[in-house]
Amino acid sequence: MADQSLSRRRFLQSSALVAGGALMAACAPVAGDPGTAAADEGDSMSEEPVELVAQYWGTRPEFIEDREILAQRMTEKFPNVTASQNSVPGGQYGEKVLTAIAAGTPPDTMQLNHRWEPFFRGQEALLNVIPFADADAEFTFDVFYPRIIELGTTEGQLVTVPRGWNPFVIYYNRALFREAGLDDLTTSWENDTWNWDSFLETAQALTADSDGDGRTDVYGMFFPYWYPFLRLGGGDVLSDDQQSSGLGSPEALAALQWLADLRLTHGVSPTPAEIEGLGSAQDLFTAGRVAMFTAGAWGIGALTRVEGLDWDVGPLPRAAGQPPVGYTQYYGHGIPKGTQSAEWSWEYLKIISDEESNITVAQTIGDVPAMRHIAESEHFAGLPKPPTRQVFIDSAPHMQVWPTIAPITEIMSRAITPELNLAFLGEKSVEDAVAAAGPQVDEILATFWGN
Amino acid sequence: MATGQKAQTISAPWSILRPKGRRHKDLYVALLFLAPSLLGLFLLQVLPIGTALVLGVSEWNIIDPIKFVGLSNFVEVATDATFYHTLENTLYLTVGLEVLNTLLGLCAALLLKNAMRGIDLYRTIYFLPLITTWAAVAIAWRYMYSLEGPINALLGPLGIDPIPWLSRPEWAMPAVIITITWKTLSWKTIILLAGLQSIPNEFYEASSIDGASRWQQFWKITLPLLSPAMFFALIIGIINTLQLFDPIFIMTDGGPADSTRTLSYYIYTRGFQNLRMGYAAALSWVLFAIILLFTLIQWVLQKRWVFYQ
Amino acid sequence: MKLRRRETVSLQLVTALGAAALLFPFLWMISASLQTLQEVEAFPPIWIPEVPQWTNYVEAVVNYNIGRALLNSAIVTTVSVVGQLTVCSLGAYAFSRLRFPGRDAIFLLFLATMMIPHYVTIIPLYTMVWSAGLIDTYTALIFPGLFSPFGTFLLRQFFNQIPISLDEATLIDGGNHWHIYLYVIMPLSRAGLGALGIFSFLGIWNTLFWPVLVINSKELFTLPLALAMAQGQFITLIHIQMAGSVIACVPVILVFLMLQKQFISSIALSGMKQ
Repeated sequence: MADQSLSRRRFLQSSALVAGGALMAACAPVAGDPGTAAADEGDSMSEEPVELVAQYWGTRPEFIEDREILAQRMTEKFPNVTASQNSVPGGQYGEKVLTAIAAGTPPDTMQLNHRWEPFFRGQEALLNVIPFADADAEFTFDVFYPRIIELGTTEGQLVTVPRGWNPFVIYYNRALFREAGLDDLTTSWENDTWNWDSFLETAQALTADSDGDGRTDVYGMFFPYWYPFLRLGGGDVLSDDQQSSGLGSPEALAALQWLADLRLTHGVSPTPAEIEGLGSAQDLFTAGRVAMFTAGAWGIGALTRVEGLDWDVGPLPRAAGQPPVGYTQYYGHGIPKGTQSAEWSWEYLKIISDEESNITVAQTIGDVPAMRHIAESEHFAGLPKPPTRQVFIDSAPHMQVWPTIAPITEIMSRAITPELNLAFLGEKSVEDAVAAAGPQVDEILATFWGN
Repeated sequence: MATGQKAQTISAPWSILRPKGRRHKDLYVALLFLAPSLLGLFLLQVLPIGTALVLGVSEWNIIDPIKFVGLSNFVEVATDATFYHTLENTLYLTVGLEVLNTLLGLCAALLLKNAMRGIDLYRTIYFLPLITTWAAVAIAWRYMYSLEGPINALLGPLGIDPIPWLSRPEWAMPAVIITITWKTLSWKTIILLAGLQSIPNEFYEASSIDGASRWQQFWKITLPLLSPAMFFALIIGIINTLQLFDPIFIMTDGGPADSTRTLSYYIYTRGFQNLRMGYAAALSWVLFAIILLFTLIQWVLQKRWVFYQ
Repeated sequence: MKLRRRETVSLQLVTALGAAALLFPFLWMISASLQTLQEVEAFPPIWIPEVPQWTNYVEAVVNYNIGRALLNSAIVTTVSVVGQLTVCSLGAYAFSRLRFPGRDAIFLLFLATMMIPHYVTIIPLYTMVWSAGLIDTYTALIFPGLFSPFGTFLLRQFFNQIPISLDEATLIDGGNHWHIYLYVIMPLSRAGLGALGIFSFLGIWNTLFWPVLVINSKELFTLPLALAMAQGQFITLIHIQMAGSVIACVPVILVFLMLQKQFISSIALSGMKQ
């Protein structure tokens, strides 16, 4: 089949050049052809001028400022390097990187997370960073949470140098807790009195129709994410061997049913119809219409800005007979294949992931830094709000992520979520939804493993 | 003035492709006038589309080389349940949007044609939805549709229980159609307004002298003379609606339960999310064929209702 | 035509009602641009902010660089719209007034290109722009806006309404096609040019997807890119975004007011016909 395949780059470029690229070049301002920068840098790092670009998503001014500083620090360390950052809105990240890769001009480093890391690694578009780390006396993986490195490593390959992580916790409204006569939540992930039964009781105690019009005004809890509960209940979306859907397992079915019941039977969590137009989980929480909700550490930044809101965090509740699960999403940066010089990319990557950069993660961005000693220092753990920041850090020993196989996003978004949403709407039973999603998951997996 | 009288007798407003005998002597002049357009057509359309044509018979994940796979993508389309489902949604959206847009656009154009007091202000207001950013539109309409929001408040006295517009599969599409109509209505209105203004006033005056009522004038003069503009707006409207993507992405993200996912949204998902550019290209060609078919049908049917002077 | 008084009043009423229905999200946008983030997120929505937050506008301009983005968008859109009106009107003239072999076939090709979904052609287009070394330049932003099959189609329809006898009069006076185009067709097609001007201005002013792909430097961000900066993955600063949106709307309204005069003048023209 090799003779039938044709290099995408040559194919696209020849068609483009035939198109009279020369003519467009004539109208262009005097700008260096980016292609010349790709001239082979060789293995040794020369003193010749180099231009490096780091690709990120998210365009909030504080993010951009952070990335500008990282670029400046790179340029300061290597005077021949002109480092820059490139940020696009989150919704366009995939298109931006893919289009650049398709044109043969990948960025020098790129941001990765639970969604993009499996995707790009699965396409074999990323370099293994372990050889770089081994050859570099300045660098060690030992400063990071070992569990993040462990979870990110598949078959001896690691493609992401982590920068931060977002443990999921329960955010709760302390004022509503006091009104309902409830104590603050435990801070211990191991405490098994904080379990699904006590969670439901707490949610029931918080759910209230305060104006007595027959409609619920305060809901005990809201779950914008169902996946953490699936894991807490001992289930997962894939079978252990990752060959088929895992939603049919008794643990998974029970966990999903329990979630559906929160809404449809117990009425402690609103259905989408009941909160139509009221905004996101966070909006509902700040408006005092939801007393508990699940989210990652990003909730800190958002809730801290709300004046007069008395809130704190607690661990995810344990399911009966199951160990604690600290579901998290980590993110970091990697090196795409085909960059102008992997060595320079590695140097840039080191600055993006270093100690100073981790401090920014803690203080400015508000996530938990990937470096353990920074997370546990005054830069994160020592900050005043919420009072029990330790809950985030204490989830580390129980850290779990979602499956890291390449088609995971497709499996979640295309096969599972639409069906489960029907179940959570009460349109279908959980069994029927799982039975409908199963073959779709299996089909995606068969295509994936078949290749 | 001479201009006006000739306009009535000679001009064929909105007539499309009506050859008036072959005269080749204009070829070189035509090349000069067409040169920029042809260059644009070639660079911005023909080349990328040619590439897309090749992709349609290939497998390409963007990262690895392109592989030729013959017609297998098209065979897959034929048995792809999501394709049929999204096509159904697309047709629902297109019919709903075109009917509402044409009716309301016509009403708005007829209102705005009159030289009443404050007409400049009214025209600007009618145009505002088109320029209001989608982000603002989405938030404002989410409130409109909410259970305690204005739309349900209006329906209440009619004995209709509050409708969860955006979270039920059966209501999401009507809600999307209403919002997009609100947002894009003035597009239609501008075209129809321009069309209305090309109808000479003396037609109305002549019929007034003959004692025709306004209603009769509307049916006998306005509608027939406006039909070419309506035809134009319909053709373009359907071409655009069949490819509609952004508003859906912003308002419902295809949900709930895929009830508002359109074919072009599906194409985008396949290409940029599942990295199946070849398959996405094949789906695009199928969508192209559908749009072409619609356009040709309208072209044939225009003889029945489009009136050229 | 003359309207009776009662008709005038009822027409006014209906038009005003329609206007009110169309106006409210725009009013909400203005109101939200003057609220605090907490007010914006309140439910049911607050229509009149307690204390108007004019600082939102300052923040939008300073933190999100709206000023520079406004300038970029103005440059890109102005050049694109003027270019598109020129290119499309020249092409439309050929389709409307000239006879040459393959004319109808080429015109059909123009129409057909409108029917191809964008997303499959975007990568080849990007590759082309990159090959020409145009990434991160104004040219990359402007170039795709210069040509529009829709615009050519629209103008051709308008040109076809203008009587051929006028061309012939110009030819008898010793003019050529260039004269007909410049002195007959263009002045008589103001309504069409105005409509196309509005459409293309709006389209280019609001486009986000293409600039995301070809622009890297903050200095070249267009308005939609700058506005997207307030959009976070988890937190969106709606009040700042709305302030930016209001700023972004002002030029479009000005352009509309300017171009709709062309509609008015075509009313005046039809009045003259009597």
